[in-house]
Amino acid sequence: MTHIDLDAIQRIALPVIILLPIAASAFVGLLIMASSRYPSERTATRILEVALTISLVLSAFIAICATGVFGAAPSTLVDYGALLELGTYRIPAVLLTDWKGIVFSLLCAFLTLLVARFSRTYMHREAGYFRFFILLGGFATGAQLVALAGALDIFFAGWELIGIGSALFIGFFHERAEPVRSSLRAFATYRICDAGFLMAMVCAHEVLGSTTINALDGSIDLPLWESTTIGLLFLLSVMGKSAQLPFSGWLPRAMEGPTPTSALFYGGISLHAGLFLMLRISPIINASPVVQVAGAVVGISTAIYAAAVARTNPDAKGALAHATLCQVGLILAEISLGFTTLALVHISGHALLRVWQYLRAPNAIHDAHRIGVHAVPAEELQTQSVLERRVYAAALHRLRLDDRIDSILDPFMVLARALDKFDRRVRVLFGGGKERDP
Amino acid sequence: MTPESVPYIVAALAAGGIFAPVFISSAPVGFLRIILAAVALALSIASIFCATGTFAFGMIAVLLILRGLFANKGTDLPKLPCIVSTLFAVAAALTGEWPVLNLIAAVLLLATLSGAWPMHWLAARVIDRSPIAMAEQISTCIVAMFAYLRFVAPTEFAFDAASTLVRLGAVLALLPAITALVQVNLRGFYRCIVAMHGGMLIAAVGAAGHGHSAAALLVTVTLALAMGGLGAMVAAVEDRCGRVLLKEQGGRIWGMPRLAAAFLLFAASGVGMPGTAGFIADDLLLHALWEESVVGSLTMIVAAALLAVATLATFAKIFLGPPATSLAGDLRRPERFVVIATFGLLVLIGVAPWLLANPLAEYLRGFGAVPH
Repeated sequence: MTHIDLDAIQRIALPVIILLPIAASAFVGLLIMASSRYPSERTATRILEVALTISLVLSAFIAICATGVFGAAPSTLVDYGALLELGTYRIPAVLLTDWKGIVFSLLCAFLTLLVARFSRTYMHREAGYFRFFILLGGFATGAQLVALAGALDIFFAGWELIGIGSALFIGFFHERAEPVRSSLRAFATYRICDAGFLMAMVCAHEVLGSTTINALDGSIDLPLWESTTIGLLFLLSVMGKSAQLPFSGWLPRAMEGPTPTSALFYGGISLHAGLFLMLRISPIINASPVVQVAGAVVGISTAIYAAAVARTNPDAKGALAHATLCQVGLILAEISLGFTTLALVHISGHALLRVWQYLRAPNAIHDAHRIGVHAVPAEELQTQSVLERRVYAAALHRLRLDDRIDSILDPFMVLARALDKFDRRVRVLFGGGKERDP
Repeated sequence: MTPESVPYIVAALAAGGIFAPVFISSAPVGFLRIILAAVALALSIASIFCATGTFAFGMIAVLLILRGLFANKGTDLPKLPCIVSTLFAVAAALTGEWPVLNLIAAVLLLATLSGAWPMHWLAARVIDRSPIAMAEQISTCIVAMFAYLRFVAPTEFAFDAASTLVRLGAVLALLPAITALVQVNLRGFYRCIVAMHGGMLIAAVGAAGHGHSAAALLVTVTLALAMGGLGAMVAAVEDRCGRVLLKEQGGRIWGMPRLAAAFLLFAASGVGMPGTAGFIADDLLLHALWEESVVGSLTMIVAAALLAVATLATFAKIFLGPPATSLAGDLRRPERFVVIATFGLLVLIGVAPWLLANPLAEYLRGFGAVPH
């Protein structure tokens, strides 16, 4: 097979890898919307599983091609032109198949298919079965966009799809109030932190002249304050998505979602997507010592916090979430200190391990009885020093992170109410506000 | 797509915005409503193909007069918003010789139609009576913006006023986004989300003065289709359940899952969901704003983030929760097809924005628009 052939095949395969899962979801959604009856569970699942399988096979094929087995490896930059081009403004339609992208794409495709297969029986006859699989398709596309994006605009599209999917999955069992509250908190954290991504993207476009990932290599030539500003804005976004301090409060709440999605999002892909962004923007990180130090400090402090909380957490999934967070913090520190290859290996191994652990979490109680794991006896706690007890209490209450953030937001909500009150008065003054029943 | 096809595309989008609400409302699709929609479409097409600003805005004025005269019968629409917007349209039609007055009149017309602050009290009167009437009103924005882009944006004064309008628009988007967080009923939320998009529209109008015409039109199309669609869904919910308060979770998704999905899709598109016109419009607008005012751009980003949070919170209050005992049905078949068609348009523009944006830029160059 010639070099040109592989390029052509890759050019066709990549959009299929990315778009097929969401197309399958859209098809199932369209079936439900257009007809008066729902399709069978088997039909909906098969459609999605076929799409995810094709996505995985093609992803594996791209990885094999990249090793050079079929001759010269295809080009790592696949340019489809521009999604939009108006004067100096351009949304590039570029995909990147370097090793970072290929490994993450393969990981996402494999884990998504695995979880879809697991969920077929786990979610059987559950209310919201179709919703689950439709959202899963959207998430798969989001993850592939993140993995293969060659431009920040495309990366952000995938990033947002992952965020929306994550929030909707957390609130999946919405007949209880708590999952809905948790979903809102996670989504609010994502959106506020994603403002950092948007600002960084617009800044990068203005100072580098392009939003392609490769253009970030030019950040070494930027003035220090520019690279530092862009890097810190990206870091803010990563802190939200990867639940780093002080935005870690939403992660234990996210365990309200179905176990398979906890595995996929918080064990496998979503938490690691933030780290993958850090890998992608590593030229900016390398250009600014301030960003390097900030990333390392955030990562290490999150790792220490999560390790302490994991040891005191009373529920299996919560403890697992913090154990995951501890490793995610360490990986963030690794990337910040420049160990990007180590971080990629760490991400892959860690994601696979955690997905397995999450999927086995429902068996944890059974295992605990079988192996004979017991809680720390009360007498043992009483013999601890004052410092140990304080650390224990702080970890048990997770540093009251949510309360602290709420107290910061309270004045803002007061402002919102005052503004609304003023607005209502203005409307009533001009004759509006007299709402009629339909 | 060639530049010559632009007016036809705009006409098709306007037709979608005009006819969609007709089939959503639970009121029977009567002869009068069909005739009114057809006349509105004919006037819109006349405005789109007019060669002078006087006639283009004049046609919009006639359209607004007709809506004021006849729409009242079907939707109990208050007359004042129609009168005020008609006056602005007439002013925009008659002041072509005076660029300053022309710009002010056109911007006020767009602000009134889109419900931007401080003209939102007029939109509030419409929404408080009937959200579906607001959806119909919003559809006129596409035609009005097209007239603005051809006859007002290329003027020198529009160029000078661009930075001011961008800053103003950013603030006008932020204020309703903040108040959206504390709304206690569905109509209040709809009023805020429309007003926020009205602010975006004003900012886009400013950016158009410096050649960002595609951003302005994409923002308008998103406003018309996403907010029009959302307005139709608000009306559909209220037709079935009466007035919706946001005090506790409604649990309506159990009885009306398709309506819940449609509501979420339109709302998400309005707040920039990837794969829809909203995402491209936001992206394009932010880059355009950045060139005019960094603070304005940052303000818009914060406004969009706050609105997204308010949107999910409102969706949760209306649809999520334990099953509600209700006999209200899900979306009817014609309503479902309208949802599919309208959302399909949003997705089409979202994944292939060049279909509209590139020929538009080329087309407007013929009217003397500043190339970006």
